Amino acid sequence: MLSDPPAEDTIEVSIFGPGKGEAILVYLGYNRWIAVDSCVDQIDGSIPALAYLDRIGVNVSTDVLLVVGTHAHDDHIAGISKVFLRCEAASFVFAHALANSQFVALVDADARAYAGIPFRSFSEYQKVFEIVKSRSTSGPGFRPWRFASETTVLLPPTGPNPAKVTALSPSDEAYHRSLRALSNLLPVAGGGRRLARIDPNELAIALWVEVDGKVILLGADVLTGPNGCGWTAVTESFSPEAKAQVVKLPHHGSVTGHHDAMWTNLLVRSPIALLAPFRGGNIALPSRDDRRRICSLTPNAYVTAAVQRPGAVDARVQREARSLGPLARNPREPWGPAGHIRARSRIGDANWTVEVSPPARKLCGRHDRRRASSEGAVDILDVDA
Amino acid sequence: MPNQWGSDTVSVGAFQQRVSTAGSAVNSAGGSAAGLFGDSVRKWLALRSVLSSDSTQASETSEKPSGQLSETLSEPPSQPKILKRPDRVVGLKRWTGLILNIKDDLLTVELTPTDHEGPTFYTEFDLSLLAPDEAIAQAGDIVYLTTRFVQASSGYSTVTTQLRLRRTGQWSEKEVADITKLASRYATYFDDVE
Repeated sequence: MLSDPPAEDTIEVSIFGPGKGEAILVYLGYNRWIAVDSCVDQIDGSIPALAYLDRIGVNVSTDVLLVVGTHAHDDHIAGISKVFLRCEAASFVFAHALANSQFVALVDADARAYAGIPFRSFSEYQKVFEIVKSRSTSGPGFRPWRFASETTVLLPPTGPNPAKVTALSPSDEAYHRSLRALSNLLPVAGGGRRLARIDPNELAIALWVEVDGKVILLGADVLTGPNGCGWTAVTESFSPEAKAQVVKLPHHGSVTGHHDAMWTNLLVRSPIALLAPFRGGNIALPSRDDRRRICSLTPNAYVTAAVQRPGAVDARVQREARSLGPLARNPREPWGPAGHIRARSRIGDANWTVEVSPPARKLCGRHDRRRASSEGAVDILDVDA
Repeated sequence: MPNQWGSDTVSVGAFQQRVSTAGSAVNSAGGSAAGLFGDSVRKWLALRSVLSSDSTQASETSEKPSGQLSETLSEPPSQPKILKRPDRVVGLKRWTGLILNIKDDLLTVELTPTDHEGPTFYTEFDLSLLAPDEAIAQAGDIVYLTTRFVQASSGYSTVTTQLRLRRTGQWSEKEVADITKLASRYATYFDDVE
């Protein structure tokens, strides 16, 4: 378990993932953090990102400046209202296309249609809305929420060791497409209460983080397209001066988030690539082909947990499954303990140090997987800037 | 045949007897038909009489002297009836499930216990178990799973599992109005903040 705090002049990217879900923390130096997405440890109910910040002694209520909900999928927003509640000085960031009455109506309709049901897509947003309202009188100049679209500067570079955080998506086209989709989802009297789903991946917020020569790309679940959206739009509209040394791979490493121009235009050669797997239903990401593709692009790829579900089914699940009788097939748990990958680099130093806490591991190579199974595996990487 | 067992006529097997279903005469008589079937017939008759909701019987009964429960059976029992204890439900568990996907006539469900402590986990079911709603089920829908543990009077236990799709109903005009009102309030708030 990683528990040492970063030095003031150090940049850190931490990613947590139990197998379904991901959360990211970025340390910008000088007691400034941003939190991107959230996941919950399904075994003990804790929130790994908050537990880590508490463990290393961060004052969560004052030092976290932004809490970003990249998109409304439960593997990215589980527990995010609890994160935001603790981060009292933070602005909550979400896609501009969601800052309208239609999305609020959808959240409210979701709450009504799924009252008493443990699976609600937008319950975290409902709680976030309430927290935002309660903080709306926190003082002049304080903005409890921020809306992101392409090229929105969410954190301007001010003060010592200036850090800049910019949203790269969603694009204008994605914004208009989403508004059209939202308007078709609104409830009508006499209509069925089943809510159709929009695909929030189209509205996912990719982030570009720059701190004194260190550059990080957080790809959320941004997909390749469609035209005018996703990486196609980002790579057409954004040309950075310096490329990113660290990338959180989009959409769990899936080919649906792969875009050649993202790798060539936005990333250095053989970047440090971080990802959280997705074990949900019959889908497991990244697939074998995805792993092969990623490893052909960088040997420095890490994953927070095993892509396949844990081999042994938990005894509690076994007991529960026995109650179901013979009609239930293949009972299993998609979760496990949340792994943690941490990449750190001091300002002025070209090297990045990558540490993993199991079940996190290197994505490429049998040898590295064995090595990662022991506590505290460390790689020191000289990333080509 | 002498009227030695009471006042009602009952067909039992090949015999026609008068049997008092409520009185003590039968027990003490012990004659022919009653002797053949013994307690089981008497109990069966008593139970059937008490449980019957037939209006004719009720009418007949009302004409009888107080304290007399009796009836005339059109068909005799083919064999002695053995009274059974009713089956008992000795355990009940419920889960709520989210359909994650449907593929190859299998639905993958994320199950969470709703009336007991337990882990959330995934499992699969044949789509046909959702009948008659299997055609309309889709990913994102909610299902309810109930398992009953039944102990039969014979001592054997059975487990029954029922899976059904959650019916969502329709939006009312009031609900839609309330949703619209709330959304409008927030829209103003968004404008203020930005």
